[in-house]
This record gives sequence, structure tokens and C-alpha cells, in this order.
Amino acid sequence: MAIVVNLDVVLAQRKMSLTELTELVGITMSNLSILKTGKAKAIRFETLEAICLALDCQPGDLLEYRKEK
Amino acid sequence: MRKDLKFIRIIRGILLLISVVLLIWAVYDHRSAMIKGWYADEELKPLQPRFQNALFGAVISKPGDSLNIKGKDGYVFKLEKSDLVTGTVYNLHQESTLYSIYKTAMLVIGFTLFIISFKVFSKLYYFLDDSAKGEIFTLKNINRIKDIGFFCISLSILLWVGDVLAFLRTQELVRFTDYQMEYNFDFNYILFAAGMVTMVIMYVFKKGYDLQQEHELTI
Repeated sequence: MAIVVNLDVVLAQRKMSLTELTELVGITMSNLSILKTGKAKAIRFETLEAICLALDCQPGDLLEYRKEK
Repeated sequence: MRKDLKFIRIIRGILLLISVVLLIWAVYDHRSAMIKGWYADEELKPLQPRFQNALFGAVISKPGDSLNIKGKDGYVFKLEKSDLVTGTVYNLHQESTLYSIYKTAMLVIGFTLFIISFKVFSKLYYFLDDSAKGEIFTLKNINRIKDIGFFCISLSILLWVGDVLAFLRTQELVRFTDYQMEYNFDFNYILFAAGMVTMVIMYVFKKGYDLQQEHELTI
């Protein structure tokens, strides 16, 4: 997919673990893993809002568009 | 949803019931073949009056006796007398290569039809079983529906081929007589259409599976 999720990068910048984010956002570990590994097909605005709030970042920090070759 | 699952369970039960009834009926219908032998149903009834005459009665007097008859084009036929409950029947056997080929081909087709029918039943049963558990849009079910569709189309074609072979075989058997075989085999359009419809349903399930995946992978 051309949309890349940079959740791991943002988590590393914030020195936060996935478990901590799970507690803050209220999303299951498996769902966050799907998002982190790029297997997710779509993301709800409310989920994006919760992650942005927890990580104090912009949606653009989490999502990136890479042209497929 | 729970109501739908109950409905699927009812359909599964009906399928099992119909299968058991059909099996009992098939065994009952072919009981003579099972008791008297594999080819007991092959008595050529239209030929009976021709061969029930004094000449054959005198030559083959005991049940099990046989008489070789030379027919047209060098064919040799064997006439066998069998005393059945319903009366005396003279069975006609022909030892020609073409007849044996038709017979073997029919046996192979019959065996294939049996396997395919069993496969259709088992796939339909497991599909209903999984659906009753709530696992409807799965890759397994999509493959099962695809197989059922393919098997239905194959069955319609094989049944037609079997009819043609049966016609050719019987025609070969009565070749030296004055009897004419009637062309009376039809293509099973309903089974063929059912197969095509099942294939379309398979694509619907494929779409359903994609949508479910999309729904499950939406975080």
C-alpha cells in the first residue's frame, strides 16, 4: 500500500512502548499491532484522534504517502 | 443473526434427511442388482418375444446354458437363459471390443459421478456446518462453493456423456436385430444452470469476504 504508518517511529521518538499506548488510547494490543505493521486497511478518525492525543502529534506524523514503483 | 443460524441448521438437517432417504431409495431400487449380480438390471426386455420361442427353448433348456449367435459384421452374441421370479428371460451378451469399451467407459463415468455426488454432498454439508457456527465469509467456504459449482457443471456434462454412451452401447447390442434405438437423452440444463448460479454466488461470497476483511482490519 502507498500509505505507510509511521507509528513505530513516533513511538520511538516519544520513547513510549506499544503497551503504554494501548492503555492511553484504549485500543487492543492486536489492533495496534495491525496498525503498526501496516496490515490495516483503514483507520477511523476517532482512533486517529485518540492516538494523536496520546502521542501529541499530527496525523501527518503518523501517516505518510510513498509513491509505489 | 441467531435466527439466521437456526435457519441454516434447519437446512442442514433437511439436507441430511433427504440424503438418507435417497440412499435408502437407491438401495431399494437396485436391490435386484445387489441380490442377483451387477448386470441383473441389463435384461433386454424388448428382445424377449423374439427369443422366447421353441427353438431357443429347446437349445438352452437349463438356466445358465448359453448359445452363441453369429450376427451381422462378424459379431458374435451369447444368449443366456435365466429363470427369474417374473418368468424366463433370455439375456443377450455381446463380446465385441466396441461394446466392452462403452461398458468400461460407462463404469468409469458411473464411478466418477458417484465420487462427484459424494463430494458435492460433503462440501455442502461442511459449508452449512461452518455457516451454522457463524463462520460464513471464509476462504474455506468460498472454495467449497466454487467446487460445488464446478461439480454441478461437471455432473450435467458427465450425465449427458453417460446417456450418450448408454445409447451407443445398447445400439451396438441390438445392431443385428430389427430394433431401432430411440435418441432419448437430454442435457440436464437445470443442473448446469445451478452450477453457473453457484459460481456467481461464489463471487458474491468473495466480495463478502473482502468486505469482512476490510471491516476487521479497520482500526
